[in-house]
Amino acid sequence: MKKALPLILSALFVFSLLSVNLNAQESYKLKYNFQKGKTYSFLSTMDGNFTQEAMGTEMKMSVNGNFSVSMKVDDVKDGKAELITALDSGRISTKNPMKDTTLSLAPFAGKRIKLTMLEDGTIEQTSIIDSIKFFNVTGLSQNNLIRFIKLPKGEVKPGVPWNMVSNDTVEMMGAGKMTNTINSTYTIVGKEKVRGHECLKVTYTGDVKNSGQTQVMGMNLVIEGTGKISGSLYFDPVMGMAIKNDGSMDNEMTMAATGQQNMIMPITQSVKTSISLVE
Amino acid sequence: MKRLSYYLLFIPMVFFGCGSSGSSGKNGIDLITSELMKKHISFLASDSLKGRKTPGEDLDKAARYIAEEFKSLGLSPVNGSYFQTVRLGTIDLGKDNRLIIKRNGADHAFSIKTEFTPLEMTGSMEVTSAIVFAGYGITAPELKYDDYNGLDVQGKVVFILRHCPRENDPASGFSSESALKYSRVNTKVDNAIKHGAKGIILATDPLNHSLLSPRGFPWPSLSSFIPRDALPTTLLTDEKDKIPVVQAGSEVVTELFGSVENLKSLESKIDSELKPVSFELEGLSVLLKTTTEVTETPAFNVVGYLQGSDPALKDELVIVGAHYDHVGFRKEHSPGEDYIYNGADDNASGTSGVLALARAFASLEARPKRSLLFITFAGEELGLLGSRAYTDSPLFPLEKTEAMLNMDMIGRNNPDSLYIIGASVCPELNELNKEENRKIGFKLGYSLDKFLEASDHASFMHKGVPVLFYNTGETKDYHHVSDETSTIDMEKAARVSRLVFLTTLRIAGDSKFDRSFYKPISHK
Repeated sequence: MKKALPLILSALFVFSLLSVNLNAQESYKLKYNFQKGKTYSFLSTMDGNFTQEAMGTEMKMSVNGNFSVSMKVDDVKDGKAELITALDSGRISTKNPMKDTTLSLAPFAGKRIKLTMLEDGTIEQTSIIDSIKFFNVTGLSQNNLIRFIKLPKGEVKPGVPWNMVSNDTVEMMGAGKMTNTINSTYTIVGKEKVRGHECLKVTYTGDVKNSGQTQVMGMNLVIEGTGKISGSLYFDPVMGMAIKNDGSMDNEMTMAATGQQNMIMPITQSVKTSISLVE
Repeated sequence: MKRLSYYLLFIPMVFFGCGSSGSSGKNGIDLITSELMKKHISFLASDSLKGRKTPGEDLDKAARYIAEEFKSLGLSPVNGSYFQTVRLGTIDLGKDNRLIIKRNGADHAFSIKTEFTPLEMTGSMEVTSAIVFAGYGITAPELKYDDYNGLDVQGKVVFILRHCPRENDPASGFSSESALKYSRVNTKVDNAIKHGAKGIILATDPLNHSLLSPRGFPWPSLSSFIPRDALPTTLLTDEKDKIPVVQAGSEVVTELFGSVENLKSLESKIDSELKPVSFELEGLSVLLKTTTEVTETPAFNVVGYLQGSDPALKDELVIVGAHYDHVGFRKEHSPGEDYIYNGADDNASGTSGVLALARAFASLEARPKRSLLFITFAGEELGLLGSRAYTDSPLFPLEKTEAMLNMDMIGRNNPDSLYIIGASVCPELNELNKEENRKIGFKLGYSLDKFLEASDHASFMHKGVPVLFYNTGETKDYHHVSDETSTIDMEKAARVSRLVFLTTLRIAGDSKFDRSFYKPISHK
């Protein structure tokens, strides 16, 4: 019996795609100011539409996700912060022609990851405290739904754009890796009050390139894609924290499979995300 | 290039069947035994057949085995052969592909991949013509929307937008599930061809999508990343029916419309009033050429025919089918590692069911009134390709095919459970099957209609043939190397086959059976 394999395969990559979108932003010159003992809570949402073509047919899938993530500042020393992050709750719902599903991320809840981060957002070290294997992903929080953007070294003035390039490797189904390279341009465009915080509004645009390979169900898969991101980031320079980040991404990927089935699947994604600090 | 196996297949099979039924005093249903199922499944799912991937010599070995069995049972070939050729192959992009826009005698040639890219349905053809903007390329009578209304595109190249008007507005009518087809590229291409277009340039609609890339199809020859092996094996259609179809990026849009913003304005106008804005672009012509390279690798459906006994009904047919292909083997593996996807349940079990029914029917002294066609399909795992090939070029008229009963994965899980798929679209057929099941005693389940499109019966269903699909449910071994003969409940597979036998007998023998109850459903 033949199942909608292409649809299954694309669903497998939802986790990977999440991280592309949510990690895609760079920032404004200012240091992160972590307070020892403090716990930050973040809420993030994701709405995405995916279209994939395979075997002469075109399938559409929509994905909606809600996540709550907490981050405790375990220690701050010599300009480095030790952060313990964990997913508090999460849910991903998908709608496709075959069926609608809701996936609870409860197995990830409370599974901690420790980060050692510099004031500019550079992560020096990551270690998994509570390991888990769920759908062959060893830890959703490894993908860091709240990963901090890396801040520029020098002074950045409003209206003067700056550029940041980041390379991010994320885990895919089947123990493979996908590398996302994001070349972003940021510009401070003004000030805005958000959730009671006086924030700098930073708009950004960027180009995304992704590539990776893995093995799933006996098939070798390679992935290649390009896309664009854009959005607005609200940064509280006094608190030293991003208060809100609304972003969107349009991406065109190709997934090519050899093995059980040979196929070339163009996949188009359009994803909107929002991450907010909840105090 | 046709493979050697293509010719070898026919050598032992060109004679009409003349063997004995091989029965040993038993008759009909009694011949469908667990021992018989085991014999067939053991061979079809053996390592020697290497997972029966379509197309290939390993699959052809299985085909010859099935044909030999049909022949030995005394089943007749069709049109002199037990094989129906399934034209399969890969289509790669050829080397000569051009898009040149001519304005006032000046040529602007665009670069492939960076400025335009052919789509997968493109053909080998060159056209020079005027170019016509045909909006979204949609003709949707139920929505009273037609981008081609009053437009002459005969022999011309059309420029159309992907997606549909007001795609995110539920009030537009285009976001409903039934209207989704209009946003599909295949639908737009078919519609353009139907209106006489000889070439198509598509572009992403720039109003609702930020990427205006000339993506087209990700051809391996245009990528350093995509292996050529990834080119899918497809059902080959006549290349002469195809026209050049390319996707263009912002450079082409700018050349045609002056700017991307101008195109956005046109789109905005269409979206705001949901009324087409189509016109021929003045002072412009286009040369559009694409080429493809087709590598043909045929596979074969295997057929055996038993003519009905009633002079008035023997032209009518009941088909019993199953796919005999699986997904092959893993090329990269360690020494000693199991690397063969034997496909014992998927679908040596169903294939063996067809062979068992063929034996049972061939042994009957009184044949059913209607004729029977036993058929095993190639290419199911690639997208129901064998059954699509049959229903595109049926050996017997589909309008006289009273029913198609499909067995796919019939040998696992609880001994008394059986899923019947298709009951919701063919309730009368299902009632008949339920009545026959009283003699067999399965607990019938109807919760797997999500698999209504998932096996070969779907190809018949969409052509108006009533269907039922017999399936014993998924297991952890599905599409794994562990789908081995040893996991099969042979008695259960035999019982399922007996039920299919009884239902087939009922349909084929009942002169009052009338397929007109069936209302075909369209492809999703």
